[in-house]
Amino acid sequence: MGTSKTDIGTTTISIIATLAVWEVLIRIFHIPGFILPAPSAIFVEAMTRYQLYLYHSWITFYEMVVGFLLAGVVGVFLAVVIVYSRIIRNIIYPQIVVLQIVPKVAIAPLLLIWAGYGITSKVLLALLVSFFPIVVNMVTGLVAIEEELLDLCRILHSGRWQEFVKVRLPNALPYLFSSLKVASTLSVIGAVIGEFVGGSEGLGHLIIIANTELRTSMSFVSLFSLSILGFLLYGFVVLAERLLMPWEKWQLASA
Amino acid sequence: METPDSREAGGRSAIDVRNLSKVYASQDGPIQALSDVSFAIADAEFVTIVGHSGCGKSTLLRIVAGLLTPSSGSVTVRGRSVTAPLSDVGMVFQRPVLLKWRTILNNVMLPIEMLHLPRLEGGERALDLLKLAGLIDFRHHYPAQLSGGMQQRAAICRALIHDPSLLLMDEPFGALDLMTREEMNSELLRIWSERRKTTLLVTHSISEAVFLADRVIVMTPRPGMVADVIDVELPRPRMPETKLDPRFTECVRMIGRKIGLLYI
Repeated sequence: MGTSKTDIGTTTISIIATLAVWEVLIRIFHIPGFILPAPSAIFVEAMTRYQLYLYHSWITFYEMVVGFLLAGVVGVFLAVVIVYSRIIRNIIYPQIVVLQIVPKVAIAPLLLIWAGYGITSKVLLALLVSFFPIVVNMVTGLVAIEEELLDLCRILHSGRWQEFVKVRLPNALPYLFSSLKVASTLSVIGAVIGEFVGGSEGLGHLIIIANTELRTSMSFVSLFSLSILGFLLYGFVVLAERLLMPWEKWQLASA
Repeated sequence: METPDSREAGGRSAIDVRNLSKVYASQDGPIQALSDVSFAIADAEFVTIVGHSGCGKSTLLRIVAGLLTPSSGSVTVRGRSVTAPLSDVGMVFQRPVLLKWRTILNNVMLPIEMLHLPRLEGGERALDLLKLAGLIDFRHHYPAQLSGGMQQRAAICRALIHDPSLLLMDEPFGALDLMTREEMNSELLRIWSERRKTTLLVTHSISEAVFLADRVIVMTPRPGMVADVIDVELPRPRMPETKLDPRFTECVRMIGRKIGLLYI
């Protein structure tokens, strides 16, 4: 899974080529800017009003990061409780699944009523959208232990706590990180849904304004900013994964 | 058959298994895994159990380790009846089951940590064992960087680190290729001759059972019963050449006949 210089080169060239073709097509067919702006127009929009975009990007980034981190804490906590208590598993698991099935867009207006039009409701939505895969994966990681290893723990009189800290938790790390990668991209969706439904800040809010005023290049700058934010958070997760699990690269090499 | 105390004059046996039976409940009714199994193992003796797969060998080993409770009968280890998992046991399984996030040295140290034994001494013992197993240069490697045979050697070090009085091995080389397996047999005997542990090893390879053991317990399948206990009168230390000794081949042939394989 290594990334070589040629890999990066190929990706960069393909992006530049796509933008070039886009620009040329717009100019040849004289497509009006409010339908599809040229990359150059989008770039000019981004540069002239960069402060506006930076400010709203920061708001959205804040919402998604806080929501994502809370989802991590809540998700891991729920997974541990589900694994260790049968009663709580029977109470909580069905409810979590039901919550996951309900479309978050449908809950968003309610959350705005309960948590207000400020940042809190967006954080909650980001949390709600992204915590489910964390719970499910973490439960799997805590339970998927080789039978022999559990026998070994019993022979060594490890007790529940040592078994959890020294065997189950580290065993769950790869599962946790693959779910965190998914959650990091979902948290963007959560934050933007919140901003769509109500509020006066964030990139989602900018997109709504841009649409009503038919300022399409503004929509596009907001969209690109959103993907950059999602990419950033995803990148942080990947970086943390590499730092916290140095053994994984050997695992992949031997697999 | 021998009585438990016949082997070592005056000394009580290290493991004493008496009239052991185990019945598993299943959807198709109860399954008798073990039936009236009795044997005794003396201190520092190397005993192997050989039989078809499904003859209850692993069940027997897990009962001796205190991981399973028998339906009837008893297991006594060093004079004490086994009712819970024994920490005085080193266990090696068919798979190495090392913790993939720990280096080899830290894997070997796991029992020291879990049993809250002094770390300094444990660390020295770990290095000694890794030296003995030829893994000292790999102590800072992760398991995935090592071959299957090396991983299993690390698992043996882990089983010995807390200086248990019993070493229980459940088909420890069953997952290895034949050449590695033969190497590991010699390697195990070399380690065993340095740390004379009472050892009970389960295998379905007759030649492995004979090569390693002082005595071989032959088991019949469904229900698992002791068909015979055979003394292996081959001198130690045993070398790969030992397998050319006519006494070795005779012993293998005899056990094969007991298990019901056809030998011409």
